[in-house]
Amino acid sequence: MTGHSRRQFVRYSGGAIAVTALLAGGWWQWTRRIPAAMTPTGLGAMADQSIADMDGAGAVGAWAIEQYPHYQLPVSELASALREHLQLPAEGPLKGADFEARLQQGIQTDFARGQLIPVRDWQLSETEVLLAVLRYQAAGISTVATTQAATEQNIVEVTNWGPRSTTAGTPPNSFGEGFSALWFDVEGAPRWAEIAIDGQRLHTSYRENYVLVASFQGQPELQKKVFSEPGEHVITLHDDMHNTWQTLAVFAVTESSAAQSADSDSAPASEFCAVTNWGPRQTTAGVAQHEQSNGAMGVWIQIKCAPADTQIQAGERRLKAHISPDVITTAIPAEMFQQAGEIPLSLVSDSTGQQLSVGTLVITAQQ
Amino acid sequence: MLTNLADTTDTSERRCDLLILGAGPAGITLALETARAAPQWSIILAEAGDLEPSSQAELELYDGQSTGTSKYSLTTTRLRYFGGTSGHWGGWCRPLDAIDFVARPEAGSVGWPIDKAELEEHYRAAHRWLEIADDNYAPARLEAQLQQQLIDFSGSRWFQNRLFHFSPPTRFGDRYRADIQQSTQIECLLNAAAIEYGYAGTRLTEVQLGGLHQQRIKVKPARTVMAMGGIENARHLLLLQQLGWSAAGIQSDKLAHGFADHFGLSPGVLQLPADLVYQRTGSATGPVMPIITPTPEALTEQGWQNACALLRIAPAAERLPGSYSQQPALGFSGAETWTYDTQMILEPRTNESSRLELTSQRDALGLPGIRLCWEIDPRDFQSAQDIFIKLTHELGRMGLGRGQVKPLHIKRRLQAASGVAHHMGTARMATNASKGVVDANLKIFGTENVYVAGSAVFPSFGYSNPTMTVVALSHRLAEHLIQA
Repeated sequence: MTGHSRRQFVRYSGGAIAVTALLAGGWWQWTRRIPAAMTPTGLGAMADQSIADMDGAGAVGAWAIEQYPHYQLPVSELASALREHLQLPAEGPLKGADFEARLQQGIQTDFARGQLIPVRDWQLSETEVLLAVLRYQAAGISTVATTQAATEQNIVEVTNWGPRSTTAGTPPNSFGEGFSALWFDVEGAPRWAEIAIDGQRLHTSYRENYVLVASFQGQPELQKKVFSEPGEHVITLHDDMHNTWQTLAVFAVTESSAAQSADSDSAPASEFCAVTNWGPRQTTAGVAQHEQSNGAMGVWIQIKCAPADTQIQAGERRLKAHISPDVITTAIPAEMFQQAGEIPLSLVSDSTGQQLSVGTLVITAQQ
Repeated sequence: MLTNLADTTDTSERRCDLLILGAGPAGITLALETARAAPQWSIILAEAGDLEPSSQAELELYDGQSTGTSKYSLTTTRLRYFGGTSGHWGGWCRPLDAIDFVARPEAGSVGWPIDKAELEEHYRAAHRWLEIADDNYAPARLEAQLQQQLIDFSGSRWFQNRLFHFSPPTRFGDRYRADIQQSTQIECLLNAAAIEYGYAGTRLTEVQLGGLHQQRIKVKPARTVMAMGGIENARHLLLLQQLGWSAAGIQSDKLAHGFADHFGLSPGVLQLPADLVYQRTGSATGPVMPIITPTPEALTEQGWQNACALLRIAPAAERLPGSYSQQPALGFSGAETWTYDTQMILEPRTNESSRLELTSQRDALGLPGIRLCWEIDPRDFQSAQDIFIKLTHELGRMGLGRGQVKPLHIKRRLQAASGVAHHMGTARMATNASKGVVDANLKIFGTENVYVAGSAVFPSFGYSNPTMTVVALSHRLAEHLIQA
């Protein structure tokens, strides 16, 4: 917890413009300027400067007036009410520091006494709501607070991702219930970050602390829209806590044509290629990751080639596999992950018995 | 010694000093502690399941009806094999607080007939059983860096920081299997569920053990402890009630009533300084989980149920603008703020309408079926919200942040509530049979030789996971049985 906000840090830190302004004697004007459109409150220039500085208070004031229209009073009345509430002199200009100290004290007293007003369900003190409404009525909402627009910023380093393309009409990496998923090896992603495709948020989850998986689970229309026609789709990562976003990748949907089919070797693969990725690799006992309608858990295995009669060996059980380009999926029955333990997974050719180890699904205990 | 009843050729009648039904944490602790302290005793530990997780057919023996407002799985919340539910336990550990033992009708807590001091030495033993080195639950000894990631409540009379510790977790079936196997006093019978009982007067005289196999063994114990879990214990006691045993505890109105489980709920969002840690994290002494709890004074003064809050970092749908929540003049610290979803674990009120009943159906072993009606007292949700609102007041007063209260939507929350497999309260401990099923020594009222172990005996519940208290109670019961 530092004593300065990021905004203050930026304001007071170095930089050519700041230095120039300071040297020019314009530091005060540059850093502390009452918005031209601000209506004087009658609390004095220094108090007005403090109020003007309270970015974001206007937005909260607008919320409060929306919820409590009777707060929509003239600036002078609100200022008088604030004076009374803070037991300040009824008239005359206030010193900025004194005003801020009284404000802070008034807010803390409100909280101690339970004198609160819910604004959009935020429990706010009477004093701060009064101040916020005054800020809004006197100066409106500052651009920064109003827009709260997310800014583009580098959030993570992507070291690998996939699948990167598919042919039109073929949703990639398809799970048991038919939803697709994309994975990203990343470093430094906050746990709350979400992935979007064409601006539409996808269900985003973590695997093993560095793999982000974005799935179309629950969004069949979006999936259909993205993968049905050739084109490119921008994939972005969003950090809503810091209002930032980053472009991660562009997913390509290529032409699906008979010619393409003719060009390709349509004979089924007779051997396994290497498994390039798979998941989920861990779950909690009783919890189905990628839950299917029957309670089973969807598992995907990324592999370029596999025999057409491939099945999944999960522990002692042989499971049906759904094979599509680049990915094999299966559903682990619910009874298999009710207890903590491990389930070794491998791919098996039903006719030849050829087997390829995939990995071990770890089931951790419930609370 | 481990004997698989399904395979054994020796099905002769057994006599023993102690029969324990159920080889979960309660039963295994009791068996080994008793064997250690009373070398002359012969002990039979009867486990309904095998050494490995049950087959589907065996799991079906646990199935039943769930008719409460909040649905409950009778199968996935239980494990029918050696080691019991320690097989899927996450290892969360914390003793009950002293106030959890106190009757506080205003908080829906009927209280225990013993106080926490009575359990202190047994809690110390439970730490050994659960392989936890540190028994300090206040965060004062945490390293400085971690303490800086906690809220400083030193000036608050309402809230405080406390900790959960974590067992590895101890899987009793694995960790103590060799001890059971090597014991010459203990015969652990696997695939040996209690399927018939015989009683005379105030004594339970015999228990028939069997399974889905055809083998049967009759045991004539000097004393019996039912340690089959909070649901199965009640089921078997209801069976004894149905058979007409007139023992006061068996006939108690409280038997199988007041079933409770902890349930998580999120009463709101907090906007607080960045990088707070109120989740499981590493520390110099092992994994810990800092929590925010009301102080005992607050619980007494406000009449709240005991509760703890965890904070999960999560961007809120609607945050206070960053430029607002970092303004010292508006009562904030000036630091960057994050939003945290508050996950609260609340002590459930004792709710008599939350209960288990027998059905007319019979399972494959001939035992009556079970119907669970899990009913959370709707006031619990209001309590959670009250505590959360007070927390927002306190954080505002301390200049740390603000809180956003989520709508109550009690009906929706009741329907969505999900238990965490803590089956408590169905054979509660009390001072007499009008208030409970077992006495302070866990003996069923009106019987000479039948006891209950496990969380079924909890009369009120706190917010802590029950395993540590279950093990402590078993440790205490072993001491009592030997001395009695």
